[in-house]
Amino acid sequence: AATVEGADPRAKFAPQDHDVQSCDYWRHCSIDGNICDCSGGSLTNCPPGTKLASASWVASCFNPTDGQSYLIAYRDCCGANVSGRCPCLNTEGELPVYRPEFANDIIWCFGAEDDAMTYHCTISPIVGKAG
Amino acid sequence: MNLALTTRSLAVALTIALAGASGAAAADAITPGETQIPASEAPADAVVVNIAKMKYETPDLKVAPGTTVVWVNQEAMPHNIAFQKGVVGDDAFEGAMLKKDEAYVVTFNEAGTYAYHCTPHPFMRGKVTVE
Repeated sequence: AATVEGADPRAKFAPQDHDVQSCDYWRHCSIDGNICDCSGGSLTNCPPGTKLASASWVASCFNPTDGQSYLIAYRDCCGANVSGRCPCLNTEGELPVYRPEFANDIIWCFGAEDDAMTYHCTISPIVGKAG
Repeated sequence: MNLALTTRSLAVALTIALAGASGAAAADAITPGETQIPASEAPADAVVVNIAKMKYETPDLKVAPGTTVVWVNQEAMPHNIAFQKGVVGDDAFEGAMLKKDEAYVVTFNEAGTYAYHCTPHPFMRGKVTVE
């Protein structure tokens, strides 16, 4: 995890399943930006007043609790300035921008109401089992 | 955070170029579904285009005016269909994102060629020819 205090930033991602607001929470294995749970949202819901994008990048994240991997569709909450809280940058399985489905450098605000394109934070919902 | 946000900001322009379209009202050329539906509830008489392995399985479809086409996502990676400006009306049109086993219905009312793509995956392209 990028900002876990005292952690080696080059160490292998070591997921945990107890603290949603920590960068090493398992569903955040490829998050880039800020965790919405830290700014009035939740793990799967946007903070009030922001707009949920429909498009997303994805990653296959390992859940240490049940030993399964799940596809996470990282969806940005948009239309407000960046939250500045709980910043993270994880890159498990991340690929360059020419493979956009796995690229997290992109502002994934597409499909948000009012054409909102300003990044605020990111949620980490599960969309399926990684096959 | 700075690194993450900087890289995300740098990608904005590229992303806009990749996607090119945002949500908007559809024109009379098509009658789109309001939202996604379970695949099991798709109209029985609709022409089915399955989505799997990052492809539209029937990318070049020919149908008669008045035909209902249903796109069915068969994989965990979310997909949609989107039309750029000028294809189905003056505005762009973006269909709902489909999770696995979800479907999206569009009825094509008028003759013409309707090119579409997947919003987060612009390399996924298809075409419906109505004649």
